[in-house]
Amino acid sequence: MDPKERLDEIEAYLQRQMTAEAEKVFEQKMADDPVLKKEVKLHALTDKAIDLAMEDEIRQMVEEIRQEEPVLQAETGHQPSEPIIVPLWKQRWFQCAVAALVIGIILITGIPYIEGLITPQTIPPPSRPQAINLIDLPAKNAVLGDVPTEDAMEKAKEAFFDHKDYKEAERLFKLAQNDPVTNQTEVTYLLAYTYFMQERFLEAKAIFDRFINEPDKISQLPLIYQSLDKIKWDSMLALLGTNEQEQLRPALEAFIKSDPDPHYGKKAAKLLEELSSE
Amino acid sequence: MTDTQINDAILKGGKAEKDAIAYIYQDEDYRTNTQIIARNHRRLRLTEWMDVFNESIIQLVKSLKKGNYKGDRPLLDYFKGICRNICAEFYRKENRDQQRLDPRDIPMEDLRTPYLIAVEEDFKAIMRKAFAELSEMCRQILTLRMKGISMREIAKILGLSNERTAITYAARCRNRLRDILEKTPFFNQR
Repeated sequence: MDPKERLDEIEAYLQRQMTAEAEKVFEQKMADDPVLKKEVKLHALTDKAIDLAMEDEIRQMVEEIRQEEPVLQAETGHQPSEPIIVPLWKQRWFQCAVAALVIGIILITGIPYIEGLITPQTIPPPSRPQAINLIDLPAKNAVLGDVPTEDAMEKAKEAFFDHKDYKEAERLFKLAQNDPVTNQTEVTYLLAYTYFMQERFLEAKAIFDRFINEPDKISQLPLIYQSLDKIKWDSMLALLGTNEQEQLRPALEAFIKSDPDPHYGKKAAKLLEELSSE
Repeated sequence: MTDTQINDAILKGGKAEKDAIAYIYQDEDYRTNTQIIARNHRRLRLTEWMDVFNESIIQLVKSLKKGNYKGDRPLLDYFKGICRNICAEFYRKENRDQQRLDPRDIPMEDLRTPYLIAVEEDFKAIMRKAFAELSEMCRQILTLRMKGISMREIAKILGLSNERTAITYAARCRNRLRDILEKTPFFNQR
C-alpha cells in the first residue's frame, strides 16, 4: 500500500471517520500486521503529544489571564466578579415560582376577561331614572275629582303627592286597602305609581296591564277610563324601566299605529326613534 | 466581540487569541452561566465553579482550534454544553469513588491507584518532554496542523516558500517526534 494512503487510513481510524464496517476491517488488519499496529500506536501517541502540547499552551495562556485579571479589570472597567451572586431571576427555583405565579394570575383573571371578549356585548341599559323622568304622575284628584276621601287615603295621598315619600305612601295605601269605604280602584291605581317611583317596574306594569286588559273595572271611573292611553303609555315606560327592549319596540309601534292621544303618541314616537338610534 | 470574531481570533493565534480568551474570561454571561450550571450540580461546591470555568475555557479554545464549532448556535450555548459535560464528569467521578469504597469492587482497568495516577502523570511528562525536544519550527508546524490550519496558511505563517515545503516539513517533524516517542521505555511498556 502507498505510504500516503496508509497514513490517511490510520488518521481516519484514529479520528473515528471510518464507517463501522471499515473500522472492523482495519482492526482485523492491525491484528494480522504487528507493524501496522505499531504504526497506529505511534501515530496515536504523536497526536496525543501534540494535543497535550496545544492544551498546555492554552492552559498557560488562561493562567496568565487569570493572574492578570486585576489589571484587565482596571483596563476594561469590569468589576471583580468573584464570587458572583447569581441573579435571582436566573435561579431555577425562582423561574419556576414566577411561571407558576403567572399561570395562576392568568387563570384567575384571564378567564372572566376571555369570557367578556366572547360574550356578545349588549346595548347598555337605559338608566332607570330615564323611565321615571318620562312618566307623568297623575294629579291628586285625577281619579275621583274633588271628592273628599277617608283619613287613611288622605294621609297616603299626602305622603305620595306632597312629601314624595313613596315607601310611606305604599304602606298607607295598603292600609287604605282594608278600609271598606275607600275606593279600591283609586288605591290600586295610585299604588301602581308608588311601585313605579320605587323602581319596582314589574309590579307597576302588572297593575297597568290589569287596567288595560279589563277596562270594565275602571269604566265607572271616567277620569281614569278616559285616560286609558296614559295607562298604556305608563305600562310601556315600565317596560323601559325593566329594559325589556324586545317587548318595548313592538309595543311602541302598535301603540303609535292605534292612533292614541297625540300627547302620548308623540312621546311614544320620540322614544322609538331614540331606541332605534342606539 | 461577536462569536465569529472570537472564533477567528482564536484560530489566528498569538495576541488575538489571548485577547479573545481574556474577553471570554471577563465576560459576565460566561461566568454567571458557569456558576448556575455548577450550582445545579449539587455535589459541586460553590468554590469549585472557578475550576470548572477555567477548564471549560481551555476545552472551548481547544475545540475552536480543532474547528469543531460550526457557528450553528451561539458560542455561549456551545460553552454551556462544555461546562455541563465537565460538571457531569466531575459528578460521575465523585459518584464512582463513593460507590466503590471496597477495593475489590473496582475493576482492574479502572483502578486509579496513586501508582497508576503517577504513571499517567509520567506519561504526560514523557509526551511533553518528547515534544519539547523538537525544534521551535517543528513544534509550531505540528501545533498549527493540529489546530486544523491548512498547509498553505501554515506556509504563509511560518514564512515557508510554498505549501509543498510545509507538507514535507510537517512530515519530517512528525517522524522526528515518532522517533523520540519510540525510543522512550514507556512506549514499549504500553
